[in-house]
Amino acid sequence: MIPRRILVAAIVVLIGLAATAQEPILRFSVAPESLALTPGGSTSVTVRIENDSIREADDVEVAFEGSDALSISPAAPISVIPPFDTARWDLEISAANDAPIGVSKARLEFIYTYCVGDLCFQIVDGRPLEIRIEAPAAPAELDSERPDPSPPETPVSAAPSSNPWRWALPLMAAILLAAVVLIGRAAGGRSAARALIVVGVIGGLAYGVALRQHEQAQGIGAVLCTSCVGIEEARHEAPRLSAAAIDALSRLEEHRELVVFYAPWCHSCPYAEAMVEAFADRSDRITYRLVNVEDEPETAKEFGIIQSGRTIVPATLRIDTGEVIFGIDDLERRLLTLIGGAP
Amino acid sequence: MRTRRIRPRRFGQAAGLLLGLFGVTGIGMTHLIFPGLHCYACPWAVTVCPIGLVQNLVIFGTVPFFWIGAIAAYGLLAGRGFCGWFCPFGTVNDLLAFRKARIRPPVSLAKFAVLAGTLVAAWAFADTIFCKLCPAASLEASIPYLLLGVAKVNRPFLVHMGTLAATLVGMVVIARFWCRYLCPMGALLALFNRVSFLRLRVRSDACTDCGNCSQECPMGIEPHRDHDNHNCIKCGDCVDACPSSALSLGWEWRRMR
Repeated sequence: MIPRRILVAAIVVLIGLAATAQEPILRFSVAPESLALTPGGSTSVTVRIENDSIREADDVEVAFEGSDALSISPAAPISVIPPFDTARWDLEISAANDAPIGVSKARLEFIYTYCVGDLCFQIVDGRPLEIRIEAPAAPAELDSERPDPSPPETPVSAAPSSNPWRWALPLMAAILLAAVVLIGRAAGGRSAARALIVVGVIGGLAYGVALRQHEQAQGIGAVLCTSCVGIEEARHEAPRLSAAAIDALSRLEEHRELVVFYAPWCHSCPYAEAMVEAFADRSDRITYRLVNVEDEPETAKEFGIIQSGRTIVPATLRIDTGEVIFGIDDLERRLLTLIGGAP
Repeated sequence: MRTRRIRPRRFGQAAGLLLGLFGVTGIGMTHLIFPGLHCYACPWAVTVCPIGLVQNLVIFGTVPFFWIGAIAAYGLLAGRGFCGWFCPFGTVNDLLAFRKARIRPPVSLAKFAVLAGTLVAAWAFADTIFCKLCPAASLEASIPYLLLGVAKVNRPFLVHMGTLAATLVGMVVIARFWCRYLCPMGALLALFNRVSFLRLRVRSDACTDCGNCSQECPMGIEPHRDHDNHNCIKCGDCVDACPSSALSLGWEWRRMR
């Protein structure tokens, strides 16, 4: 039947399209975006990088795309930009002595990676720069009369580099759907379909167990991330402490040791981690450490981060009293109460 | 005649419920993937929800060999028979199945769109979007965690309650509303319905075309005309309703022509 075939095709296409969906997680701002240079001269430009996501950005690099007469000072790659953190580069852009007079279009290209679980993406982003090469004697007024000698802007592909594993899932989904729906529908093809599925069952379970995917499944089921099933809303912004909290933290007299239990795939956890870090930044009486419950399930058990058989993350523990708060709802107030510093 | 079929099915549904809530014994989470829609975030769950799991695997970029093997095993064994005989959320559908309306075939394909949308959303947003809307999660996780003091009445909770209320209303208005039109797990098992070992069979020479089976079918299909329909949950209500014993439900282990 045509509608069913269209449906199968639509599913495959949708999954394939989704495979290309990768969101940039860093925001780059360049100041100034328009520069003026003389041949043989140089000027500085500042790149500000904001990570406004809950993911960690790795291996952030910058490259310069533009006229051969222009060059950029080497900028050290930034190995890690944590969630909600910022970074900056101060770059020096120089023009060669024989740089042609006029306006040149250039581009700063940024390359970085981030991972979601086992899946890592490489993102290429960029910002345009307008660079005006001015003659030392009569600079500005002549510019508009001169033809633009700069080469046309080089198109830069913003597509992330391909990862062959990204296509494995859509491909397997397509094969599975095609085999079961199409072969299973054919008269007399039932036995063949069953044989194929038996092979899929044995192969899938055996290879999955060999890859320890059964343990992965158990781990996902055993750890409850509060925002993942909609118990609370994940927050993707950096926490900002209120004036009352800052005041209360400045008056904290006793040492408090906290432990933040998290899972790498948990959407609420980076906010909890960042909030506790902000507390620790404001008061040297507070120390904390992070515990990945997947790596240290026994630690989570030892400290009782279990509620009705589930390890719930994020959970923040005060070591000396054993008190625990779960989630990130109203976290600042609850954290202040936990450390005994509530106003 | 009717009670013969209902009793074993009720036992099967009770077993599904028992497995779903076996965590009260304190055994904790197992490696088993549940053959139905049952939230692994339920405080008493001991099995992993297949839809929740596959979303996480999509987010991680893990090729889900173990998941595919398990789903294919369930599908091959009984297809959507798990919806009729085992799934706790299907049981909730049954409890509210007052009005056995005829199914609307084009709309019944919506569950495949829900399944595709679930996978696409997980990939595109790197988040378990379906879980935040799932009425089974509302019933089995949001409400229990509210009672346990972990959840609060906040926006996600109200969204959950909204989807649950809409689904419950749907179930009352149309029997097995969720299973017919929206369940992504039902869509997965439906792919295997035509090849599964648990099968509904019809002897056309015995069928009088009385239509009793269609009247009784909670999924709104016409079993005597389309016993291989992907919506058939193999509950056996049609078998009990057939006055000429033209329909039968059973295991088909041998090759069939």
